[in-house]
Amino acid sequence: MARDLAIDLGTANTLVYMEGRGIVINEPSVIAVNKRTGEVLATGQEAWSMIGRTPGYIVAVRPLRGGAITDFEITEKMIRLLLQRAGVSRFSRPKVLICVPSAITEVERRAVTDATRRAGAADAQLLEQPMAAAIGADLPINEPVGNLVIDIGGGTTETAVISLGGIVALEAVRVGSFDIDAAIQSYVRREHGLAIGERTAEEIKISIGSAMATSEDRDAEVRGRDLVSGLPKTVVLTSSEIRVAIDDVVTQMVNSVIRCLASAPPELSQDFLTRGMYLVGGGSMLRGLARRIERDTQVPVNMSTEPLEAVVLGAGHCVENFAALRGLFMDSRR
Amino acid sequence: MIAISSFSLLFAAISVVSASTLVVMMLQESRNATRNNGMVAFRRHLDALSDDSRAHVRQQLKDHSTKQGRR
Repeated sequence: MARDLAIDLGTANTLVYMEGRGIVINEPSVIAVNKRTGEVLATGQEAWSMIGRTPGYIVAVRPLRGGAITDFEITEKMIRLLLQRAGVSRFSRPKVLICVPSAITEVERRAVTDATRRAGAADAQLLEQPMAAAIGADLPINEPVGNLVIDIGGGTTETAVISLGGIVALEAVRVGSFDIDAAIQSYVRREHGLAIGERTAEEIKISIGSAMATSEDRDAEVRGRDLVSGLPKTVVLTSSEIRVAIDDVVTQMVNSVIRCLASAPPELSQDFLTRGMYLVGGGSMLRGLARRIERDTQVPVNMSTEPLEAVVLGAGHCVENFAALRGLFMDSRR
Repeated sequence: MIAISSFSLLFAAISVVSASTLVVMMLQESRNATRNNGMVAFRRHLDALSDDSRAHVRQQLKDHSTKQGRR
């Protein structure tokens, strides 16, 4: 009998949880395809290392942007491969639960479920990422208290207030850690006349990026292509420069949290002051972000112990209790 | 002949009455079940999200933290 699966189909990373086994796949959401033949050449880590370095007839792309499918065909191929690797065949078709951003449109919703069913799933259900994150971060969401969870992913920032097993207030913006990378890329281009790729921008963010000044502020040498001469060039970037470059994006994230706080019922608002908010998602690992949110909202912020895995672990719990938690799935609430 | 056919009629009538009573009783039961269903489903939903039920999630979080620590 097929074991049911939970998939966190993120803009940056894809994680797969198998019923009774735990997380079985955790890799970047990238796929490399031969444009001439349509053949898939690599997925995950291997495809990620090809980004920006492929010959003309090969494309290494992220099929999701802002949590939404930008290329339906490629996404279907990626899901098909993931299901194959998880042991799905014509004779063993599992139920699949997919975590998606809460701001997903009806058309995008259908695109994800259709892609999953066509890839071999017996049934495809969708679950909002902040709900899954709250379950996976082990928050007491079954109690009548306000739990505020902020999930910062590659393409989206979602804030949800959860109480008594359901979402009470929700705020989502299509701004995530990839927008931080893009802001770094355009800053370096504008201020230093240097073209850098998205992987370099991501490396800069990880090594010297921060949302607030920290004791670990440092410099980094960055190599790219000079926009005037076209020759390779090296410049030195500082942490404070990067803070300026990404400030707009970070402010948008913080503002969405403030909007969610403002829309929460007052009875639950007082809980946040005592219990704090919870940060999950890969984007939450940006240095100083928790302190910046804390400063701007005056509400304490707690970091999840496993920010990258919380969503898929929460979805995995739903798969283990499929019948009891069916009410959480997006289809069942229509 | 007449006695046999009146017996058959009587038995047929009894069967119809008992069958319809049974159907009515079953309908009543299912209606009661639906009435309680919402509450039962909600309790089951909350139970599935309780601390006890999520012990395996906690364990996996702990396992991942340990793995990360080792790296």
